Amino acid sequence: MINLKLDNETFELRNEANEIDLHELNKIVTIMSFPDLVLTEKFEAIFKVLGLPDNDMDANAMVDLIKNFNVFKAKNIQLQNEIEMKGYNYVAFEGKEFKLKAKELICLEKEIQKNRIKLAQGKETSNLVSYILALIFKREDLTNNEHYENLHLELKAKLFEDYVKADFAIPYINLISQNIFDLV
Amino acid sequence: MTLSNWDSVTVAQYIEIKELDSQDLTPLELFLEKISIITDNDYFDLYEDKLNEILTKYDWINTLPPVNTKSNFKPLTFGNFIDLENYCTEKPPIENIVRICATIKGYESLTFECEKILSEPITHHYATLENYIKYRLQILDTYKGLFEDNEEEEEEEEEEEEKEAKEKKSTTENWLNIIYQLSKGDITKANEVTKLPHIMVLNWLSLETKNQPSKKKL
Repeated sequence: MINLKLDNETFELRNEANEIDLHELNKIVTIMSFPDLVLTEKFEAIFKVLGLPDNDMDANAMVDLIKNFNVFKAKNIQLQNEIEMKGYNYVAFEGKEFKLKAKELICLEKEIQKNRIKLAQGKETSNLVSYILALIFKREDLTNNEHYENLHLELKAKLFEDYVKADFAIPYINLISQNIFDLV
Repeated sequence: MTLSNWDSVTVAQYIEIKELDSQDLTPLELFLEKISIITDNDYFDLYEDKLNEILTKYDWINTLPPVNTKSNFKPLTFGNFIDLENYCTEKPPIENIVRICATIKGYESLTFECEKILSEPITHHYATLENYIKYRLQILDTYKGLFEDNEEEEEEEEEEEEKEAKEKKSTTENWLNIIYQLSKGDITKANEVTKLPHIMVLNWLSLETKNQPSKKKL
């Protein structure tokens, strides 16, 4: 948490990945991909998502706030490769190293392309981070055919939104994109 | 098995590869589909590290087959030229590569030769196709007086599909008209006309068009 003084009132801004849920992370990723916003405008929008009220913060204070914003600086790079949700076990990878398959990279390419088009048309984009987690984590009792079904991926993406925080997703996102802002 | 260049890719495989261009595929998907066609393997379950090896190995698939041989189109007859015009205009020439190359090579039995060409390396035929496409453009430019259509502007407002069907029909009719005129209405001479060198007939037709501007163009 960062304590901010706004109009003589102290305000707490969530600042760590474990304080942000997946819905918010999805929104943040989308904001970072808006082509028409400059960086400070993007961060203003992000801080609004995190509950910061409208204010007349001066430029220096805004720069400091951006510098101290920790959400994308994932301290824990340890990937959690298993999770249990609604009684089912989901596994991201077997062995030591996390790797994506060609078909998963293609699914990702398609989702990113779809989002670019939606963004250009001013439509609401899909929840990319949730989709990535859904793609990576496979339910152990299902086959590959079922795993890549769109409906299954959609439902799983929603499950992740209920079960995990941003700190669970960010190490994967960073590994895939090297930079979360390159995603969309 | 690793293929190192276009020499091992057949014409049939190349046509299949070109058909992928019209599909809505991502760059990686397109690449892997192309490699799957030429190697008859599935690469979609490969992991990233192995994938990079494959992408490097088959990098050449994003290039075009080499065009390093010259072709001589002078021996083409007027009949060949008409056939080639139809093949080049009815769909993208690459989709008709077999018929185009078989016609240029002067094969008697198109069906049998087509089957044969499909299984031959694309490098044996691609240069012929590319060279002919360039040659055709030169012909259309040299004889543009013959091929220009004055009615085209008036037809602009017509429905696109209707227009295409009409143009196709009128082109075939035009060719038949030309043969009819040149054989002076004698059906027994029609075959002889189609066996004349195409350049000779095109020269003759442009002379006629110059002398009688009202004469219908191709």
